Amino acid sequence: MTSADYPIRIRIKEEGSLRFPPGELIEGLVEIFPETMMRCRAVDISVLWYTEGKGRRDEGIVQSWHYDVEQIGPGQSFSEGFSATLPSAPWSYAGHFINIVWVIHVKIDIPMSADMNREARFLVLPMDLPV
Amino acid sequence: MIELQAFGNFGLTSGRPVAQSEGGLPLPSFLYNRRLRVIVLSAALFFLFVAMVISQHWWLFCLLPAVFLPLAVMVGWTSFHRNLAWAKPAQLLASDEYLHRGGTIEMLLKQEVLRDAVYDRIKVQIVMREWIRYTCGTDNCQETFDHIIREHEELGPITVSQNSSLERRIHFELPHYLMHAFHASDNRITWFIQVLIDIQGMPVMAQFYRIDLEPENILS
Repeated sequence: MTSADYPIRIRIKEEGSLRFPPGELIEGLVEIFPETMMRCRAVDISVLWYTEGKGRRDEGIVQSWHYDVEQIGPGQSFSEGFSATLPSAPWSYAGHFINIVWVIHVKIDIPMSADMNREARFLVLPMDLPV
Repeated sequence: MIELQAFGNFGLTSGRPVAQSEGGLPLPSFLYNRRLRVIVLSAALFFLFVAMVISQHWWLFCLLPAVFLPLAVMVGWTSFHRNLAWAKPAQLLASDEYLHRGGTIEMLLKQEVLRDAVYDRIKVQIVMREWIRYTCGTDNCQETFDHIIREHEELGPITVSQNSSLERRIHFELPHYLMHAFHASDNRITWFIQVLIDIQGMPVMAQFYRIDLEPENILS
């Protein structure tokens, strides 16, 4: 199963664009709807930033939620909202060596198998700054 | 105006260690006097020569370079450092120690010279540096990339007479799209002001001054 096939949907409540000024509230909904019953241990949702590029990865988790879930399947889907206040920094950035990426990250912890991960990107930038 | 704190060293642009303005090797103080230096060295040579003639060990002349070469190197090195000392480290005053997006910054660059100096070039740059650390094999490697955000360059010849100062007022307007300083463990964005000074008869000097760009505190 490729990551695109993962039965995870992340919806970010936005007004026109996925761009949020620092200090703003970000809200949304995470839904997991597999076609067959799926055994799992937990679902983790995080609002975080990380660096991309040549350097080693740095990251900062703003807020995370942990849900103990034993199974998800048809008629037993997972649906949870999230809401977090973004910090004043760091801002989203694309440079020469460093990129700073903001994401909503969802991880399904599956016993005896690789975890399922999905993320939805958004921008943290002051409104007067060009993208 | 606030005096910005210099970091790194007053020195050559090669990034090699640097010539401190009051530097030099810790030679005995009398060796800093040229006349005394000549007298002492001549006397030492004379007595060495007499001693060798009396003892009839002529082969000792072969050791002369080995004795005097290190001394010559030390004296030469000290002289080189002392030559650098006639231009003091530049002083940079700024209207603010923080940069503001879309704002302006006024700077005053001052450098005192102890003898007549001809400047070929004065360059002041506002630099945003990306610094990264990554794993290369079993080592930690580091790399930087500099974004020159603003630059002021003045080409000479600019003459400054002895015991006076070069003074330049520099005004920069800053763009809106600046990224704030960012300090993580392996990825950093830092801001500084780089001053490059090229005086005739001296190596090009580079000095760095801390300045910061913090994100506006929107939460407050």
